[in-house]
Amino acid sequence: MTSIKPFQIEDLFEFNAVNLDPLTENFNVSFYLQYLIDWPSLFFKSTEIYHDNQFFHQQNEISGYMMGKTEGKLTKKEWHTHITAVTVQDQYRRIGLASYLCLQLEQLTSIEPYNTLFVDLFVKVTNSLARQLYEKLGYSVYRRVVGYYGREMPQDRNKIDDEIDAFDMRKSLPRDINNETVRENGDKVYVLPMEVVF
Amino acid sequence: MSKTDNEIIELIERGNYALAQSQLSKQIKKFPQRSYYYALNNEILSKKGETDQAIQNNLKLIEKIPNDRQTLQTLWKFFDEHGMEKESNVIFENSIKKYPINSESIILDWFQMSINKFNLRLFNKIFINLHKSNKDNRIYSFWLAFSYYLLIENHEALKVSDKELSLFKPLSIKILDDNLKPFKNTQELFVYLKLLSLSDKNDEILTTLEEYKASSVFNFDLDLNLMYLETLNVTENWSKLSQFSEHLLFQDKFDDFDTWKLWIKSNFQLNTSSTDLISKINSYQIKRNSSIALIHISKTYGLDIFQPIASYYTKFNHKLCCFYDLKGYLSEIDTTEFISEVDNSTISILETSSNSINDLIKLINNQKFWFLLSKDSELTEFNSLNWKIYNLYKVNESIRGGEFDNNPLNELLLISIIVDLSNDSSIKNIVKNIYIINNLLQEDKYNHKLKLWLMKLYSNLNANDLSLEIYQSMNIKMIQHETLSHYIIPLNPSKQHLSDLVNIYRFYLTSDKEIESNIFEGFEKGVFNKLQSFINFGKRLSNSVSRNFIISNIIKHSIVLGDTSYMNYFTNLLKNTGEAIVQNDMIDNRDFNSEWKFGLLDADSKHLNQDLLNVPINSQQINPTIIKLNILKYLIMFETKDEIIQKYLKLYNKFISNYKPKLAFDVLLSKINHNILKLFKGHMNANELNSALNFIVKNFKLDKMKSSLVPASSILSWELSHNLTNLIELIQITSLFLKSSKGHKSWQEIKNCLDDVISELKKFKFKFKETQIQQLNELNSSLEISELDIDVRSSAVVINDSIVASADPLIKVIQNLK
Repeated sequence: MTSIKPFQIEDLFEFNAVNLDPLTENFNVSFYLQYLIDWPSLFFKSTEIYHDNQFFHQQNEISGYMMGKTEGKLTKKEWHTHITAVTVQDQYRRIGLASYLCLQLEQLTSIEPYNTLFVDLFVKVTNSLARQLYEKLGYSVYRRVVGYYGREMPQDRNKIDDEIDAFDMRKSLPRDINNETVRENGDKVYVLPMEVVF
Repeated sequence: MSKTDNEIIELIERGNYALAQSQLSKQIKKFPQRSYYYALNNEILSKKGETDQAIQNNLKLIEKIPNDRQTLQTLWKFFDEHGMEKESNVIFENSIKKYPINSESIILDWFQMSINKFNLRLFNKIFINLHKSNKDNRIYSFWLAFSYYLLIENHEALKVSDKELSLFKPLSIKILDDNLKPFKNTQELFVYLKLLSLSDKNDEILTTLEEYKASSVFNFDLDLNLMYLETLNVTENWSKLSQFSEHLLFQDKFDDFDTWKLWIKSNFQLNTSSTDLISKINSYQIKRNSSIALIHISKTYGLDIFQPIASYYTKFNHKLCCFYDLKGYLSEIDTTEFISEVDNSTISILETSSNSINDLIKLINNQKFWFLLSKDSELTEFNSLNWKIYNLYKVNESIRGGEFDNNPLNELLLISIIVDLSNDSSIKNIVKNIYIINNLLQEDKYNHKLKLWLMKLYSNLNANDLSLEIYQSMNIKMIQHETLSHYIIPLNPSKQHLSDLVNIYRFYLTSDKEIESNIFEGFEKGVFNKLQSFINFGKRLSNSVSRNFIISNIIKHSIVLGDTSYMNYFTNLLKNTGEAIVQNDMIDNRDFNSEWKFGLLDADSKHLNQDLLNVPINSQQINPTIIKLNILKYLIMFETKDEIIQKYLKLYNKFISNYKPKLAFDVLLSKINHNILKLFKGHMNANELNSALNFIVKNFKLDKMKSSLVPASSILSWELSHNLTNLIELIQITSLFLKSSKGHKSWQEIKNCLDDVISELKKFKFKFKETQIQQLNELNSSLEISELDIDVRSSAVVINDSIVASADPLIKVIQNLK
């Protein structure tokens, strides 16, 4: 029984059940604060009624959250929504919660004050489950970012490596009437990390 | 700031005070009217130890009411560091009063410098001045109104009087009503609505929201939509609530369970038939929330609730959320029929020997329902079925999701492990379950619940190194140190652990600055729906149990090890902040519940021992009182001014009367500690002195302490290290006091006591290490783990090594005690 609530910085004290997931990054406090300042409505959480509250005095628990932002220039057709983090606690997986959080973000940023052209995210090339999830939601690979998760800045865009490369996946939003911000066979387009800075 | 000024500041920062003073005197000759140089000079005096003179000089300086920003900032910092909060604010207040024109930048400085005080009354005072300084500035008006909101919202904690409340409420609304309408964005509207809400003006909230909704000046964000729903509910505006919630649910696809509940409630109040609601939901895509909404309709309308529960169970029992979703409704039904359905489901799956992930999840949910609703006698059956399910699926690769996903299969085993520990939390059983969890982790490397429990169990043994290893393997960092470091701290004193603690502490240093600058930016950008939590967050982190426990542990490690690397920094830190730490409420942000997230820890839970919440027991003993006592102990030790020492001793006496240690050794040691502090630092008459001295001479003996020093239960537990660490710390502290307090005839008696304790302790240590190894070997040879094929020996070696390694640094310290 999921409800959607705005994320607050104090939720950092309560989100371990979500953030102890090894693929969920724990950022420094400033990073979360900056998102809450710059994109307050694009950072929200899913909550569930918590039944062990006699012990923990907790009415609700966080089952997942979405951390999004907007960036890019409209003139370059790069004004878009970016999914920085979307994550769900293990007990609430396989029920479409991550997809729902993504759809909420799309809805929010398809209208003013955001009204972006597309929504995008990065997914590790080896993470086929995540890629499938996003494809079901209408995302497609726009380009392959070579060495995105690597420790060193790559120089050769043809030196692909599944372990450290990311797919930049996009879904065009209603403002992109002609679907100009997405393309087919994007997985064959290789770019370097510095080429995806907005 | 001139080049020379920068040079002087650099010299002060480097501690080159003589040269800095010589430069300053030249500047003072050149610019005798410039207060800044006098303020810097006083800063140097203070750093050189001439604090009283510096304070007097600066108090005289503020009488001159300086108004240049550098002087004000320097004086503010000076008084703040000396705990003179009132004076630090007076500097700004006087300056603003005397020089109101162009005071805006000074007030902004005042605010920026005061942010990390999280003092809502002060914020309000500053914003009143700021608003006065520039009434045309739109954002300042919102800051002021918002500060009133914070005061009213926290009126009890801040002791805002009724008279003040009756003034603040209309005043805050008036600030926004005058000249600032129409509001330009959701944030401005948010502040206004929140203020209306605090004045119970719900009808005005509705009118305002509807007005803005109709005007479409800006789209509503989640906060405003939720506020609209809530206000319609509070005002019992059922028709509009029904329409708006229906719009959100069915048009906007806002699949939010709280909204479903309001939709049902409003329609119930409007006498809409349940059939209409059910058919409306059935015509909609049936999802998880809407399925529970069907249950909720039956509950609200007083209809048979079993059928929708059974339907939900059938549809969602292959999802882990099923148990959590239904749990809250089970008290509404006769569970006999439900448990029979659960039983049938389990039997049918086990009969077919299905190996699908969906059937596994069904079995997990079924077992949880069974556990929740079962009788005591069925526990053995529950556990054996858990193991049966485990063996059925353990080799099944298809149940695993991605590489990093937790294996759901281990959920049931973890419950069985906790049940087992609830029945028997002996060291032997702890070791047995450590072996089991370690075995499960081999195939389920990232399962954080298994790891949290493993850390708990390791910490309950004296196996610090292993719990630290798990902590690091979980990549715990940043804010997680605040919520989870209790799994590993206290660590046994060692150079490495001291460095680990300091590294954890660095998080606080960074986050303090981040919070301060982001709160300011949050105000600048007017993010009002987040700022209250920003301030609370900063406050919760600034004086937290974890933070202060880490600080006190760093000092404890340093004293025990005789390591001075970090002492200067942390004793200075305590000198500056110690009084605030002990005088204010300490906030506990530690996370004790993530490890229990399987939904079974209820008040009437018969099979789960709630005492396990407190494992490791030493974590339970970490509470504000003991932390404050430790901090006071260090403050008394390191303070040089007698009047301050006496103030801290008074506080120490106050706190120790509330301190109820659980361990016999802690009881004895705390009394000796108290007497040592009084003896060396207190003002006592001859009788009191004799009494304290007699107590120490009588009790500060290893023979007297030995019975409680070595834990009766097992030498393998954390208790022995805990006791030894505290004993060594007491020895070191007493030794330091003796060195710095020569001359008193009583000291020789204390010195003799100390020498005896040290000498006895040196003899004692070897037995302790050998006994540990021997006990663990005995324990392992008698251990049976029938459920799993586990190589006990290899795991045992690792634990053995860790227990011995955890104790080794302490043994070395004992050897070197003088």
